[in-house]
Amino acid sequence: MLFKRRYDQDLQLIQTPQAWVAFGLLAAALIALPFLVRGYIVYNVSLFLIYALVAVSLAILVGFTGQVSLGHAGFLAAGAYVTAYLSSSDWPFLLALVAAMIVTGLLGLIIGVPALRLEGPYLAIATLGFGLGIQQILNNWSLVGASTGMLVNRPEILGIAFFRDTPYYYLVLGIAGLSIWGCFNLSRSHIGRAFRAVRDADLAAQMSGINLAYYKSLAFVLSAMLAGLAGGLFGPLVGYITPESFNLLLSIKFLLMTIVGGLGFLPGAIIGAAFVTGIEVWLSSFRNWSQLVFGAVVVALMMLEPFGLYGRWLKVRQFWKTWPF
Amino acid sequence: MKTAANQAARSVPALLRSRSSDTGVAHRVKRLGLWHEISWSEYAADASALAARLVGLGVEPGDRVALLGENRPEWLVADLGIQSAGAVTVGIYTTSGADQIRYYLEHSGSRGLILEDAEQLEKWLAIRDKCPDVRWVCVIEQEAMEGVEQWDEAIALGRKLLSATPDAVDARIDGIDPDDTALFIYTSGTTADPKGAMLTHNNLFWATESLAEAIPTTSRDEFISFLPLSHIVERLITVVSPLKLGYTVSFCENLDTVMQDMQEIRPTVFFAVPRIWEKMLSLVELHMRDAHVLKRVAYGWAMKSARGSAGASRVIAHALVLRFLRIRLGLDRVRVAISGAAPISPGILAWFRALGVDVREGYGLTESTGLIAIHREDGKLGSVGPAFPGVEIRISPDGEILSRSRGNFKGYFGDAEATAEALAGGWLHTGDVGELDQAGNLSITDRMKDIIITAGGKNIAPQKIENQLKSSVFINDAVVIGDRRRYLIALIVLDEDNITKWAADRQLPYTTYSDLARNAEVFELVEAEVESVNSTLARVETIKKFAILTKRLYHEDGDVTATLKVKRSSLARTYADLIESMY
Repeated sequence: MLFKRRYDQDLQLIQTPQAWVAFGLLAAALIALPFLVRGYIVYNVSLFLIYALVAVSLAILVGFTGQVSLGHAGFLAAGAYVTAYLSSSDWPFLLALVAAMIVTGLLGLIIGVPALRLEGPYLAIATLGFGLGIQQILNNWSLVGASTGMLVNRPEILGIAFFRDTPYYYLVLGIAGLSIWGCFNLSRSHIGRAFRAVRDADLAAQMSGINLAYYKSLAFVLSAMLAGLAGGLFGPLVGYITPESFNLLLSIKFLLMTIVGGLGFLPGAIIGAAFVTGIEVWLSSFRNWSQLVFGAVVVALMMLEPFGLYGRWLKVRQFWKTWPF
Repeated sequence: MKTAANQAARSVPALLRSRSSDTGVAHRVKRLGLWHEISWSEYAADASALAARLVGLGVEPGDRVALLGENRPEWLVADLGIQSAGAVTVGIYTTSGADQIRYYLEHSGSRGLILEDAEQLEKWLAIRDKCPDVRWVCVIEQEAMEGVEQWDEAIALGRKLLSATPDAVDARIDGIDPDDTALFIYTSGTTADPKGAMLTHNNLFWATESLAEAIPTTSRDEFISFLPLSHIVERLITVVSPLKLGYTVSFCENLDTVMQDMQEIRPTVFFAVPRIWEKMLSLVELHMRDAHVLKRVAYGWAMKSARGSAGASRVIAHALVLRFLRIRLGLDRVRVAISGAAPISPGILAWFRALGVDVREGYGLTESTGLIAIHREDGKLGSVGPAFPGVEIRISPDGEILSRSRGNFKGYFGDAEATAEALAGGWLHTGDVGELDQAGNLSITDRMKDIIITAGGKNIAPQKIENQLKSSVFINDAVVIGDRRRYLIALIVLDEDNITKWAADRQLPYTTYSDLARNAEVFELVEAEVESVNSTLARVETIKKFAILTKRLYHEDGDVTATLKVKRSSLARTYADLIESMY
C-alpha cells in the first residue's frame, strides 16, 4: 500500500517499484531487439509498432469516446501518401510527417463534425464510406500514381541514414514510442476523462459542463492525426504503397486489434496489435485455411473473454493481488 | 536523546517540554486523503501556547478542564496543554449523550471545555444553561460563535501571551508535584453513576515503565491510535508512553477507515479491544466465503498447518498464504499485539496466533492505571498471564482479585467512601473474581456483582458462557440472565454484517435489522449456535431459552457503557417484559 503524501502519487503512470522494473525490462528488450534476433523479425516488430500506433489511435476513438470507425485505413493511406509525396519532393522527412498529421487531422475534422449527428451503425457506415472514398480518390489520382502506386524511400535525417531495417526500426520505435506515451498521458488527463464520460453517459457529461461536440470532434481529429503519423512511417517501411493495400479489410483488422486486445484500454490496443501481427505470421503456415483459422481463433477468444486479452490479464492480476482473499 | 532531562522530569508536561527541540516525527494524521507529519517541537509549542491561554484565562493549578473529541493530534495538544497549566484533564467519551456530559462537567467541577466538532458542540449547546461553572469553551473544527472560542485563535492568543511572559507556562510546569493529579478518568459505571478516578503523574510514570518492561518498545516503533483516549490504556500508549520513549503515533481518519489505515501504517505494536479482534476474524471468514475455491482451499490448509506442529508445511503455509493475510490486515509488522479492556474468547486468540500474530491478553483497571496482568510470550490461553512488573496480586478469601502497585490510583474525586472501599487495607479491590495458578498466571472468572446465583443455589459466571456465544460469527453480543431464577436464558444481539450476508445468500426478504431479528430462519440459525455452545457446558449452565433483541445496544441509550460493557441491571429493566415471558 502506498503511503500517500501528495495527490500526484495517484496520477503517476508508473506507481510501484515493480512497475518500474517491468517497464525497464520492456524498454531494454525493445532497444536490444535487433542484436538478439534475425532481420525479418526486426521488420515485423517495426510493422507491429506502426499497427500498435493505429490501434491506439482507434482505441482513443472507439474505446474512450465510443465512436466506431470502419475507415481508419483511409487515414493511414492519407498519411502514407502525403508523406511519400512530400519527401519525394525533397521535403525533410520529419516535416513531411508533420504535414501528413495536419492533413489527416483536417480529414478527421471533415468526417468528425458531420459524424456528431451519427451513432453506432450509422457512424460505422459513414466511416466505412469515408475509407472507401479515400481509396477511390487515390486510385484515380495520377499525381500519386493512381492504381500503380508510389515508390517510397526510407529517409535520411540530419545526415543519419535510416535505409536499413535496424536503423529504421529505431526511428519507428522512437516516434511511435513517444506518441504512445503521449496517448497514455492523454488518457490520464482531463481530456481522457472527458472522453470516457462521453462514452459512458453523454447526457450526464453534458450536464457536467463537457462540450460534447468539441470532445467528440477532438477525438476524431486526434485519432486521425495519430493514424496519419503511423501511415507516414508505414510507407518507407514497406517501400511501395498502392491504394489497394489500404482496403476495408485493413480497417476491420485495426478494429479487431482494439477489441481482441481489450476495448477501452490502451495497453489492450497494443496487445491486440501484437496478437494480430503475431498470429498472421503463424497463420501463414496454414495457407488456404489461414482465414478460417483466424476467424475461429477470434470467435473463441471473444466467447471466452469479452473483455479481451488485456481484460483477462486484469482479472488474473486482480485475483493474485487480493491473495489470499 | 534527552535522557538526562527525562530522568529529571517530574511531571508529564515536563516530559513533553524536554522534547521541545526534537524534530523527529511525533504524530501522523491523515487530512483530505494525504498524510501529514507533526514534529515533537510543533507538538510541544502548541501545547505550551494552549497552556498559556489557559493561564491567561485564570485557570489555576488543580482546576479541571474537560476534553470531548475523537482521536487527533489536537486532542493530545489539549491534554498536554491543560496539564502544562498545572490543571487536570477530564476526558469524556464522545459517545456520551448531552445529559451524561452534563453529569461529568458538574461532577468534576470543570471550568473549561474543549470540543471537537459540530456534533459535540450541539450537545454542549443543549446543556449550556445547566453548566454555569464552565466558563470557557473552545471548538477545534467549527468556526467561533457566541461564547465559543476557535482553536486556532486560542493558540494564537496563547503564543502572544508567551512572547510577553515567556516563563508563564514553565513556572506552572515546575510547580507540579509528581503526586498531583494529572487526569480524571471516569469509570464505566456498570452498576452505578460513573466515578471519577484520579491518577497522578507518578501513577502515569510508573505505568509507562512497567509497560515498557513487559513489552519492550523503542523510538522506532509505530503505533496507531483510534480507541477512545478517555480510556486509560489508550491514554497510556498514545499520550504518555510516547513522551518517554519517543515513538510515532499515527491517527486514523475516523473509525470506519481503521482497516485501510492499518494497511498503510502497518504498526509494529498494536493494542485493540476484543471487538476489533473479533471483527478482523469475522472479516477474513466473510471474505473467504466469497472467495474462489482455490483460495478457500489454500486458506483452510494454511490454517490447519499453522495450528499443527509439522515444521515444513507450517513454514510453507506462512510464506505462501498467511504472510499475505497478515499484510491485508495490516498486521505484517506487528511484533506484539495486545487485547484488553474486556474479556476475549480464547478461540480468537488461538486463531491469531496460528496466523502468526503474537496477541497477548492483558488485564487491568482504571484504578490501577490500566495495568495488572499481561501474557508474556506464549501465554496460557484462558488466563491473563502473570502480573505486570511491579504489581503484586492476591486473591481474597471470597475470591476477589486484589492488586497493589505504584499505579494504584489516588482515589475517587469527591467520594471518600468509595475510595476507602476500593483501597481497603492498602490493596486495590478489583471487584473481579479470579484465580492464581502455580506459575503465577491470573485467570478472571467474572465480575463479582455479575455472578449469577440460580434459584437452585448454583454459582454461575455468565462471562464464560457469553464469550462462547460471542465466538460465533453470527452473535455480536450475548447477555446471560438467571439470578434467582430456575434456569438461564440469554438475550442475543446479532452480528449485523454476517447475518445480512447469510440472509442475502439464502435470499431471505428483509428491510431492517429488526426484520432479521424477528425472522424464523435466523432464529433457527441462532438456535443451532446456542445448542453447540450448550453441548460444551454443564447441564446447569446451559441456556434453556433465548431471545434475539430487535435493537442494537447503544451507549447513548444507556444499554452499554462507553466501553461497550453491558449494563445488566439497566438491560434487565428495559427488557423486563421479554425476560419475564421466557420464564
